[in-house]
Formats: sequence, C-alpha cells, structure tokens
Amino acid sequence: MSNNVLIEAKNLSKEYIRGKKEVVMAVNDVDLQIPKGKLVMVTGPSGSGKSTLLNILSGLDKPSEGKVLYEDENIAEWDEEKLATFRRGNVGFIFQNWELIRIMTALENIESPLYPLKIKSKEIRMRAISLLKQVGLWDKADNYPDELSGGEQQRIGIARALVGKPRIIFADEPTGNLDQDNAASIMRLLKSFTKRDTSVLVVTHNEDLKRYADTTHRMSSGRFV
Amino acid sequence: MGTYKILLKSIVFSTRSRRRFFTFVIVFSILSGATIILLSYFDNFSREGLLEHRGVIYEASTLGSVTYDDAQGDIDPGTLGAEAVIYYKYVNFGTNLRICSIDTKYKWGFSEIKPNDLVAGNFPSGDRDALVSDQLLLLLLDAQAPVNIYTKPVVGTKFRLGRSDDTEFELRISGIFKKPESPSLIADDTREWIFIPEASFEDLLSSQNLNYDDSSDLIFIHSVSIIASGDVFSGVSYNNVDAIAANLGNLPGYDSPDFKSKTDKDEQRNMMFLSLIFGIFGTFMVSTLYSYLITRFRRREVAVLKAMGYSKMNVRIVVLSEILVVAITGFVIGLLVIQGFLWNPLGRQSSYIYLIIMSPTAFLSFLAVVISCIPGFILITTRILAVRPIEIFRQK
Ligand SMILES: Nc1ncnc2c1ncn2[C@@H]1O[C@H](COP(=O)(O)OP(=O)(O)O)[C@@H](O)[C@H]1O
Ligand SMILES: [Mg+2]
Repeated sequence: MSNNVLIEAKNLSKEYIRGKKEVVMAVNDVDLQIPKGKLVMVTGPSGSGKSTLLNILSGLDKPSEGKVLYEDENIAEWDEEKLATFRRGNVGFIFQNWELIRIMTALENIESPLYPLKIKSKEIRMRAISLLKQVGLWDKADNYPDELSGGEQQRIGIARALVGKPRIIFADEPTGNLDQDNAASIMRLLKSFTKRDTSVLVVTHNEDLKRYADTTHRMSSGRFV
Repeated sequence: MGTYKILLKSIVFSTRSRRRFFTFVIVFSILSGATIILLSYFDNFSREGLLEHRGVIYEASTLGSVTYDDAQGDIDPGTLGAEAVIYYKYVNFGTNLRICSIDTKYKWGFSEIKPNDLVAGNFPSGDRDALVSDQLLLLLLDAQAPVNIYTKPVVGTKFRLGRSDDTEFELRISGIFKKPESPSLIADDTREWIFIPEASFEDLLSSQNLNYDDSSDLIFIHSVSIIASGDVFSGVSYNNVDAIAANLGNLPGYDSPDFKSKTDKDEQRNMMFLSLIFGIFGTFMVSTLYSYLITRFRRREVAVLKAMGYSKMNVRIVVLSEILVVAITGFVIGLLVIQGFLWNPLGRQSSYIYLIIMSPTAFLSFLAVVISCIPGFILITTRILAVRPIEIFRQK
C-alpha cells in the first residue's frame, strides 16, 4: 500500500438475499483507494450500491468478501467494540438527513462525539466553538436543530463530523435534501477541509458534484464502470 | 472521565424532551407516593400500629390498682399460646418519681410511649439506658430519691438515682420522649416517669437494699401486653388476638381492652394491598412502559451515537440516565408532597410518622422504586444495544 493511501478496499463484495432466494450483489468486486487529504466521490443511480460501499468502508457494515485495509489492518475482521473505538478516533460521518440529535443544541451536537473521550469539557467547548465559527453559524450556537434550516443543519453536521479531528469523513448524499446554492456551499466547505489532510468520501447520485472531487468513480449495479 | 461526562450530559439532555419528561415525572411521583404510603404501613405495623394488630393490652385502670404479683396470677402465658407477655412494672421512687420497666425487644409493645414519641436520642437498648420526659427539669433534688439533674435533659447525660448515697445507681439518658396527652396514666400522674430496660429495673431494685415485696414498697404494673403469634398479613395474628381476648375477657383492676373490629382490620389490609398494586406494581409497569418508549423514541439518536463511535457502555449510560433521572425526580416530588401532608401546620406531629424524609420508609421506598425499574433497564439495554445504525439509516 502506498504511503499516501489512507483506506484501501480490495475485491469488496456484499450480497443480500432479497425475497426468497434472489441474491442481490449490492457491491460486486470493487477496488478503491482513498488517498490522504483527497476528496473521493462515488456517483451512480439510486440502488447502485453506493451506501452499501460507504457503510463497509466506514466499518458500519461487514463485506461478504474482500478486505478493507486501514494502515495494513483489515478492519472487516474487527468486532463491534473495536470498530467503535476505531470510528471514535478516526472517522466522521455526514448523513443525508443530517441526523442531528433533537435534544441537543447546535453547539452540543457538535461536541457530542467528544463526550466519551478523555478530553476536558473546556477544551471540547473551545473546539466546538471554533468549528461553529468556521461553518459560519456562531450566532446559532444555542438553537435546537428544529430551529435551523436544512442548510444550517447540514453545516452543523459537518462541524460535528470534524470535531474529533478525523482522518476521514464519510458523507452519504450530503446535499441530497438541499437546494443548489446550499449544496454548493456544503461541498466547498467539505473541499476546504481536505487541505488539512482530512480525506473525504462522498457518495451521491448527483453528477453535478463531480467538479468538487479529486477522484470520481461511477457505480452501476454494484460495480465501478 | 469520559463516562462521567456522558452521565452528566445525559442527565441534562434527559430533561429536554419536555413533554415526555414532565408527564412521566408526574406519573412517577404519584406512584412513588403510593409506594411510600404502602411502606409506611409496613413501618407502622412493625412499630406502634403493630400492637393493635398483634397484641392485647391490659392497662391498669388506675395507678396502684394491680401489683406485679397479682398480674402474674391473672395471666398465665402458658395456656394463652402467646408469643410474649410483657409486664410494664413500676415502683415509686421517692415522692416525685416513678421508675418503669420497658421491653427492648418489643419496642412498640408499650401502649403509652412509642418509638415515635421520641423527640431526641434513641429508645433504650443498652442496660443502663434511660428514657426520660422532655419535662424532666421539673424534677429536682428529692430528699428521699436524689436525682442529680438540674437542667433540661440532654441525650448522653449520666445521672444517678438512689435512696441513699451508697446505693446510687448510674443511668444514661439515651432518649427523650414527648409526654403523652391526657387521658393517660403517665400524663395524669403528678410524678415524673423514667423508663429503663427490664434488666436494669431488676438491678436497680436490688441495689436499693429494699424489699419491694413489702406492703409499703410494692411493684405495680402499668399494663400488660400479650403479643399473639402469627403474622399480620395473612391475618393469623388477628385470629390469635381474638382467641386471647376471648380466653381472658375483662379482668378486675384493668380497663377493658380495646379491640379493632374485624371490618376495621380488613379495611386496613385492603388499603395495604391497594397501595401495593398502585405503588410497587404500578412503578414496575410504568417504568417498563417508559423504557419501551425510550427505546422507540431514541433509536435514531442511538444509531447516530453508535456510528460516531460510542461504545455499548456509553450508549447504555445515555439512555439509562433518562429513566433514572425521571424516576428519582418523581420519587423526590412524591416524598415532598407526602411530607407536606403529614406536616401539621401547628407544628405538632400528626400520625405516627412525622418526618418521613428521614425515615427508613423513605429509604425502602427509594429502593423499591429502583428495583421496580430493573426490568425496564434490562429492556432498554437489550433493545438499544441491538440497534444497528445501517438499518436505522435505511429507514427514512
Ligand atoms: N439490508 C438490505 N437487505 C436487502 N437488500 C438491500 C439491503 N441494503 C441494500 N440492499 C439492496 O442493495 C442495493 C444497493 O443499495 P444501496 O447501497 O442503498 O444503494 P444506493 O445507496 O446506491 O442507492 C439495492 O438494490 C438495495 O435494495
Ligand atoms: Mg444510498
């Protein structure tokens, strides 16, 4: 594995049994490299296997076959607790529906990934405030998610993904529920973080987002085409 | 440190789902209230109220009407099938004082001074412990019975009794009681009463070099408590009490004993079972229901936290803190409300339990609430930990 590759997928496959006996190859023999500090994009129509691929790479799901190498270790073999520890320190998530926690304020949502870590509350607060400023929502610190627009919620989501200083961010349709202007600003924000050596994997059905990517793969029926 | 932080934060966040939080706090406070009332029944029964349900009291109709010797002739413990027969003996000690024996095992067995009449200290347990009235300062030096207390009694103070200097007998004030209200043999008596355990009573008498059997210094009894065997809840003790009463009937020299009617007893038992159902069983049902709701409402949140790398333990703390915070807040409110009802505005103690907050009942109720929540805890843990983030995120 070359030195500047962060995560590498080798011969990755995932099959689902649908209905009685119909086997669906959601991901079919995929090879993928995510370099450090790059924005990698996987596009493709709905149902082509993008989310399944992302979930396997982030350790939320297990492949049926193949390896996910992270620093020469195959995380596909790890158990749940070990994967949780791995994600805590290395991975940030951004979701299509933002998935902010409703009973936490914007600021607390950003802080939340750090609560289980051995970091002082003061330090956590400082980091969250600094990120809140970077995503331009300093004045919304004490608002609850319900009081924010979709674009604003997604920026909080990005700040939350970044607060743990992850080495990689996984984003599944990050602009899926946003209008064009908001989508563009979210993508620019994501792109800006790659300059600090954070890798980003974006999966989306929206081909227009390609221009923000360093590398793009097109997926169809579980395969790269 | 991480765990502690999650706990603190989760407690704060739990209160944010306002409607759910307040609804269940109120429900839990009502249930805790019922639990407290239920357990105060137990407390009640195990202390003073117990006497009515477990024993027959024969109280002397006037002071000096029954001697200890006569009492022993009146009541034959062997034929009664009683668990215990307790004689509350007393002697005149000088012109200002009477000394009375009490039983340290059946503290609630004495009809006039109850454990809850204590205003300070404890019921006598050690051999040289004495229970004195809060008005003992009226008692000053007496030529025949020197007692060296000159100020208001204080728990822990030692004092000596004796008819002459070389027979002085040392006692320690272990508790101070509030004088009973009239009519009562003790309240209506012009002398002061000091209560000491049966064993000390014997020792005191023999230390005085006096023959308490001669006609001028007789041992009298204040009352006799006959404790029936069997437990209150099954009703066995009730039947035994009735049998003892039927066997003995009215005795000359004693007031006729006071019996609770069967309907009164049944009513009380029904109340107990009702609060049992509402209190403990209700808490159990509601906490389980609440836990189920938490697992439904907080599934998505749990999925997000797990994706972010929260461990199983972390997630457990996040969700369990909600039900704990709600149950404990509800309990405290229920306790305070009940305390409010029990607290008589005139500053007098109403009923047996006047400071429930400090009572074993409060502690036991708290334990009951926590234990009732355990099935809910288990439900939460298993259901929440089974949440797989990818499955949740697939559901829109
Ligand atoms: N848990 C599952 N059970 C059965 N089939 C699934 C499951 N998850 C995904 N699939 C199927 O796998 C294929 C790829 O799904 P997905 O990865 O969600 O695609 P995309 O994200 O590109 O829309 C689809 O045909 C989908 O129906
Ligand atoms: Mg998808």
